[in-house]
Amino acid sequence: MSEKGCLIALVMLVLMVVLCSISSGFLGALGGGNTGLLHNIGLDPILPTIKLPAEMVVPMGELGAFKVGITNTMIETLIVDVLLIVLAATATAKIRSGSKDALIPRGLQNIFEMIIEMLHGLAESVLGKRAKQVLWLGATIFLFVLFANWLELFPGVDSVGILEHPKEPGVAYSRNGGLLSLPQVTNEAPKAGAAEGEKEYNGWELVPFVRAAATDLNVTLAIALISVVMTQYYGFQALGIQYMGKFVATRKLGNGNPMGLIDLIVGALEAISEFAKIISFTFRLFGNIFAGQVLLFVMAAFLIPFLVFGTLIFYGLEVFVGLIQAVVFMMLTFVFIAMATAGHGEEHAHASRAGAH
Amino acid sequence: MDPVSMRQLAAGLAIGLGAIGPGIGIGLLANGALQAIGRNPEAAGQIQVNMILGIAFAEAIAIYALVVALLLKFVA
Repeated sequence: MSEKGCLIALVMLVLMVVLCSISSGFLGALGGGNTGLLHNIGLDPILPTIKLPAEMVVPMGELGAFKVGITNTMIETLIVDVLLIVLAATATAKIRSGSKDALIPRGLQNIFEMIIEMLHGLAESVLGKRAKQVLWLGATIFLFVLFANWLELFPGVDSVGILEHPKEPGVAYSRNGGLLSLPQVTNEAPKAGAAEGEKEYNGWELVPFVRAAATDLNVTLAIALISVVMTQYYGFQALGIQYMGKFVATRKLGNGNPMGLIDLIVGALEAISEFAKIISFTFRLFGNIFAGQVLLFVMAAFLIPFLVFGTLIFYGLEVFVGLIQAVVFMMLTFVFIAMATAGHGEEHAHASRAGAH
Repeated sequence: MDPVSMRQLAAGLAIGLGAIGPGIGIGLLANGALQAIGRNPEAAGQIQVNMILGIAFAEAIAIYALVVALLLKFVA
């Protein structure tokens, strides 16, 4: 009987491959450039402008040298916050009202209990007894980064926004009603009129309303700072003032012992590595998600005329990368807290406990 | 060569050369993890978790190179 199942699976696979190649050829004629059918509807494959800093959607003036306003990444963090709070409230509604139904979890409560249990398992494998105290930090970072990364893949994010003239020379697109359309416009010189301050160039570009939060260095830096500062806090809470013994070697220097000097240098290296953790947290998340966004833009712009379903492969990659980056951020937070709260004497206890697992 | 073309070349070289080291590093990590799982299949869960952690550190170096390339292309 399993042979019949295998045969059916094989036939389905072959059918899918044949259908994809037929449709890609067909849709290639639909989508291709200036003559395709998609162009006649008004939909052209456009490469969005790739900008490193987040764009202001609602500019609110200046404060000294800084421009103040609401950026599109800020809007995405707000959406993620509201989503998480609503989900949390719904999932724990029965628990908070104290009804007996909460003992047998169903639906959303069940899903979130599963997720928190998995995260608790991961925390316990790294931290041991301290897992319950620290789980809130890791789980919040995980859920926020996960939802922020996955929200980037929804239709409408990065593609719906305000059409305006570009502020920098380069390649822009023409406008077809509410959509950007293909004849590209290359800009070298600004338009006449706006002489000082903001120069505007010919053509149009899109400023999205919502942009993935982790593509903004401010967001990733904020989460990294919270993670590292809380690590120091837990270190002080666990070890008291002895936590500073990691950075400032106090014991051996007084004897005139040459080893004391090496301890001093090691302490300075430890202090520098704390700052390196902030930088590495920031750029790891930022680089992965920003590169993923650029990859999706380029693949959507250049692959759709030839192979519509090719972009789905990169969507799958982005789903995976979003999940892995959230897991890695949380796990590294746990690991650094475990290392900070370990101290010198407990290292052997840690090693033996980890060996016993 | 004029600065504009140097910038494009530098962006390509930055990520191209910068990905060699982490690529080899991640391969070595996966090699060690797979061998460990082969010796002790029961510990596969723990080994997998630690492998993902190690790969994240190695990949961060590649991400630094990518950020330099992005800076060269879009900011400077």
